Amino acid sequence: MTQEHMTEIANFLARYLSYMLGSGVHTSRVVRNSKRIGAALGVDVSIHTSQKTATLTVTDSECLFFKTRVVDIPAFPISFEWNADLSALSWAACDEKMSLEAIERKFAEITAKPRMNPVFVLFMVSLANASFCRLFGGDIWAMLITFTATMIGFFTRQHLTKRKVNHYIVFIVSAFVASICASSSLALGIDTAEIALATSVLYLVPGVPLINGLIDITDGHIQIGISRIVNAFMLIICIAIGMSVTLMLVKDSLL
Amino acid sequence: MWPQGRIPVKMKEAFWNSIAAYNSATWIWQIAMAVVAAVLPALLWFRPKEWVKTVTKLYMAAVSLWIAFVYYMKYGAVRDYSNVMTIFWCLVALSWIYDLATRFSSFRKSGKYSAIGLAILVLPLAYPFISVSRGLEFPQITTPMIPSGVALYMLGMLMTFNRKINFFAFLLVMHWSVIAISKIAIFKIPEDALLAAACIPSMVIFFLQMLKDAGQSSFKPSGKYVKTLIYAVAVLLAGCMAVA
Amino acid sequence: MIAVDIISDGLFAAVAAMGFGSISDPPMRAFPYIAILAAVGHAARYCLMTFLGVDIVSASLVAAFIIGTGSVWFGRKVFCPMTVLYIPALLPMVPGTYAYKTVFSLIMFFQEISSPTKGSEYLQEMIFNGAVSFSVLFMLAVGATVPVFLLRERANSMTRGSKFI
Repeated sequence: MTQEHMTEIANFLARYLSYMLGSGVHTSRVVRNSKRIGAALGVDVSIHTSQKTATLTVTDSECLFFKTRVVDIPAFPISFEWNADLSALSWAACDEKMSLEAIERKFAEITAKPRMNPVFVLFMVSLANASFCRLFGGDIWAMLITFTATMIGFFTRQHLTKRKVNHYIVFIVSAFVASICASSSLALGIDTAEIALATSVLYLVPGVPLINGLIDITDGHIQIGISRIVNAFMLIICIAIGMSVTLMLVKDSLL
Repeated sequence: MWPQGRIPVKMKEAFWNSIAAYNSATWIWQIAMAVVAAVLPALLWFRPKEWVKTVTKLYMAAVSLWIAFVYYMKYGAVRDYSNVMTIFWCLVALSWIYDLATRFSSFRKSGKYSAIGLAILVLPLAYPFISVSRGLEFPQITTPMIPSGVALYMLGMLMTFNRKINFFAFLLVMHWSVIAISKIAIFKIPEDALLAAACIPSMVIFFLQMLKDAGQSSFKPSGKYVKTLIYAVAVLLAGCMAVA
Repeated sequence: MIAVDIISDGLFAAVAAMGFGSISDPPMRAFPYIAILAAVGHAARYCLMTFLGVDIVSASLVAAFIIGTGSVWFGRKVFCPMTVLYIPALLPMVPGTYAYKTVFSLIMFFQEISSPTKGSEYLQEMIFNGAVSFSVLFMLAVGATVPVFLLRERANSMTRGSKFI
């Protein structure tokens, strides 16, 4: 195996694992997949990960050379589709003995796949929060109010994210906007207004980093697991801050 | 909380009393604001200059603040939870100020849907007539300068000049009309049906426009499904209104 | 009537799961299975809590275990890793009202900080609600992850031979 070829492999694997870690895949799966691709290409891969960077070393079978790279983990939006298809790519590489060029071509194809339509997501999330309101015992009016309140909140989130505002601020502002809109249901005098208020911010709950963090910890990647959980808790605190502003403003009406 | 059943009656009374107080005290101001409101679309239609745009946005913010502070805080204070509404209308004003600051919406005609927009713009004027025809008398009538009338006016403006719209304001108006739907059911104010009826078709129009602007090819699922979803939601909302 | 309650519970949970899932950009083929898992899981929790009187924490653990096991089964069909299916399906079980009450009583505790009786009442309420919401969240994650350890071989080769890349 030539030095150049190994460098190419290391470069590709660095990109592969940074894309996976950046799009919200738990660590042990990333490590397993990268090792699998490495094995298919005839090299040994060792990886160390942290929240913002990852280090990988590629060694050939005779341990004559090794290549080490430190990569930054880009902050992609969470993508389950990449998770599924990039994992499948590692199996395909292993089972079909694909060459590096073929794998790279497939990789480019997968990462260029279309993403969710923002309008579709906007409607789905609003519907989801409305039905969530129903699960907590809200009536039809509370559901309607939650629907539009979520729509405003989520649109704010999409808008601010597009303008690359810091994501903590995005969470605070959209939690505030959604809950203030939901609190207008108080004026209707319905019993379930408080449920609408409680549900309206739940579309922000960072479920993926929370569960990924827990999986990482149980898999023994305790450091990155804790960083993910801390990250998720920071976001939850931001939601709480945004909602507290609303509660401060309307608390007299809630007692 | 009070026992169920008594709330609507009590709230309904407070509602009509506060409207009467508001009308008899501010009718001159209301007429003045309505005149400005009538002049602005005419100016935008015939002379779409930069300053007209700015003035329109300022007027929108001002009228929202008027609703927030004069209508709700001063005259609506006897009603429960009017402070919540004050905050909400401040948010509407904020959306217009944000729009002014980022210079987003263009207030230009796009050549489509102008007729619908003009029709919606005329609707607020129907409020007093509906009230009178229901047998109510001045000052206990709804006027164009009540929250739903203002929301209708904003909707009409957005619809008439829909090249690039202030989407936040639209969503807030939509939220308001959903509240209006619930109000029809709870307080029995049929005047608000106008707003709800105007809002559902405009929701479909604006979201389909947004879908088109977002670009079809680079997203999943295909536009067909998203359109179906939008229509389905519109039908659901209309269904809720029919129930009310 | 009971059947209608259970079915509507499952139906709304399914809509909620698909909606929250769509934020995380799942492949389109996963949506039906996310919906089924969420409906079954949430209906199971509803039944446990309403008819058997199980508390919310244990019921969530059982429901999450059902969802996790189901995702091992379905994941093979659509070539998706388990997390893709079970994270959205778990989201409708997030204890929203408890979390809300935690924040609300914290705020009220700050307001009543000078009054010893009222302040401590709110603090007590906060700890109560906070404990419930934390435990439910934790149990949801644990319950769904346990099947991964029980069925490690199957869980780790879920996307093998995918037709979708």
